[in-house]
Amino acid sequence: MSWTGHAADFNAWRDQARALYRAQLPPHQVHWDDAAQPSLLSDGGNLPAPVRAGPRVPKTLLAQLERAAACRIEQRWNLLYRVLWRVAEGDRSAMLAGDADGSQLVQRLTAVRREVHHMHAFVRFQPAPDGLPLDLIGWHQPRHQILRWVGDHFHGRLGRRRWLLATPDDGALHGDGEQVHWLAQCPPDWASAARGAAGEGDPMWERYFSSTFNPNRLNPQAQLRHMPRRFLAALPEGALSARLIQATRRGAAPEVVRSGAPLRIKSAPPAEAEPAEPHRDNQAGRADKDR
Amino acid sequence: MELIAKLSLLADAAKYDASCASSAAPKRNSRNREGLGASTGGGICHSYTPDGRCVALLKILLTNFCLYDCQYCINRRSSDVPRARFSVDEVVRLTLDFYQRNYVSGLFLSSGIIRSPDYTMEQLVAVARSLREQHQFRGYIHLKTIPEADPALVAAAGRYADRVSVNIELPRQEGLQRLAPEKSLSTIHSAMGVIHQAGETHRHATPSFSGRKPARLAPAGQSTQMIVGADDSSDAQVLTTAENLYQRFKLRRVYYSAYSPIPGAPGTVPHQPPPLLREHRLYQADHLIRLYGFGAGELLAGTTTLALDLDPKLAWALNHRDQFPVDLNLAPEQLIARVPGIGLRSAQRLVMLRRRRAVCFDDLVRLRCVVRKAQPFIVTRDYRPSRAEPESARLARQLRDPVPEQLGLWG
Ligand code: SF4
Repeated sequence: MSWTGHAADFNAWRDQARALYRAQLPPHQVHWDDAAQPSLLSDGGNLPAPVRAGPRVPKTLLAQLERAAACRIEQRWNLLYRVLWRVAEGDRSAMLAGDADGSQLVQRLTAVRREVHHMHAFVRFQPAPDGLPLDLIGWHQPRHQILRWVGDHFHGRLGRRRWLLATPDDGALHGDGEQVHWLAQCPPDWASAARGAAGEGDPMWERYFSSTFNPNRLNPQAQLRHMPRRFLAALPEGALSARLIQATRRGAAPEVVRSGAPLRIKSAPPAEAEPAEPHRDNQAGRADKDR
Repeated sequence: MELIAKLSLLADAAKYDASCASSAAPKRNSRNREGLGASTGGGICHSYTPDGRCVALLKILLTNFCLYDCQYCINRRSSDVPRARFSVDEVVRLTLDFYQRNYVSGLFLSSGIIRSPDYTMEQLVAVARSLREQHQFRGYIHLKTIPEADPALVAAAGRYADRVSVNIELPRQEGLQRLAPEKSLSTIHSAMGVIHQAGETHRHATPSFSGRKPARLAPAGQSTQMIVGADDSSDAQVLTTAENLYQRFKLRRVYYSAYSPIPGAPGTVPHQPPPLLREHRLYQADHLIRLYGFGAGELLAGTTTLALDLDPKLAWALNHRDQFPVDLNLAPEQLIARVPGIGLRSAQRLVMLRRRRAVCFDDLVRLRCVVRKAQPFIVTRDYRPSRAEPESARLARQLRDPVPEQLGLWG
């Protein structure tokens, strides 16, 4: 017998996975679809009949599976069911890096953890426009479905401030000064205000960014290694960085670089080879972890 | 002067300090409380500039006026840079604004020395006090100490700041005497001692800025910075100095900053920067000393200079072939972490894995170890290096990192 499961989110997957395990359907007989099929889901009778109890797995595994499920990739459920099955059958190496399945699980957990960290780092808030019951608004586009894991962080930072953090396709977080709410549908005027704020620059920040940059150590590869282009491009420092790099390569005076202004070129610049980039895997404060 | 012009000058003047960490502060947050800010213990890099450096804190000087004349410093008395000075309130407002917009996780404040070391230190403390007491700011604060200031002021700084630090700048007294005549190694050491002692002894006696529970002064510990390539100190001198500081004052971090030739530099300092790769190798060696239990002496093995073309762990392993190969199914975790290409985390994961089943070669690939470097030094269930494994000199040639040519000349 084989089976096709349908799950749009973790809870839906967990309920079906439990039933399939109890019906003793091994992973190679189960295929998972990413889309929910409400007609099937609502019809519990469609699930095969249980022949045993379980699955019994460590609590940490459930938490890990839930976090790994936030990873937006195709076919996200097959691996999770395989890991669940193997661990429940007593093979705990399925949870460990090094194991073929375990490594994939750990990679997804790492991707999710990174994306959460990226969000902590690269979200920007702007003062909210008058008329909204908000102090700060932000717009961010995470790759994975992690919004629910960052609410606490921003709540802790912003205290009683009222804030909105909206995304293009995963709803929004709203801190009302006391609690954080996840809004599946962000009110359209809030969303458009947040989206608009994303494009707004801040002269103070841009000036700080240009002034703290050291042209003597120009190393754009290192910048991109730490700050993926998709984030850099979404922030004002993306365009600014391009100007700083250009000004530095053309040998502009320090105060010109610091101003962050685009170069006005009077005559054609001398043809110049790219400066050799020193081979550096790290930067001050973060040595290579795994060498 | 307009605020934005001051920001420009005083951020520029502060950028030669490499430290920007916002980690290791005690956990706190502003959930349902007046005020602003949190610290989670971990550091966050909110942006990266095109030099590849992280922006974690608003890093500025209170002023770049300075009575001293340190030759390597752009703010020295004899430099002709434009000068500016923030008011205490300006720094406070900038910090809060940058923080709530999520540009930074706090403030790193330093200063040129104006009027007197005590006066300057008082100003720095006033900023931190205002942030903590008036504004209930719970983000990260790092204050740079003036070594010559009254120890009571240094302790006061520790009451408000997560990290208080003093820069040693150069590893040896000779260098300081020549390039920073107003400074001395013994004053710097005693300032470090004051911070260290304050952390140890005031733990029980002093209330925290929130006035609630006794807190450790400067709970995120102290750090320092050494400039590399401004004088002729060798890697051995730099690393032994660092090792001593870690042991004596329990420093959290030593930062290495490749000397950046400053505009209008005097003839006493080089006009060329040292290779950035040298700074990188020092960071790698420092990492091995702090976290892997290596000694500086072990890494240098009788020489004074770290190889530029080999990472220090690989260089060490090539000098100690008698300790290899290491059997990944038997060796203690610490020894596995000494294998080139295998980091602390991978070592830990290998040990977890081998409790379930024997480790084989492909596990290393899946753990994303640097297999090319690890290969000659390990044994697994299904792999052992061939007996005809090349001798160290040849291995070194095979495994070396390419060094950009122009960078190999200096240092
Ligand atoms: S004391 Fe020396 S290093 Fe510090 S700002 Fe003054 S001149 Fe620069």
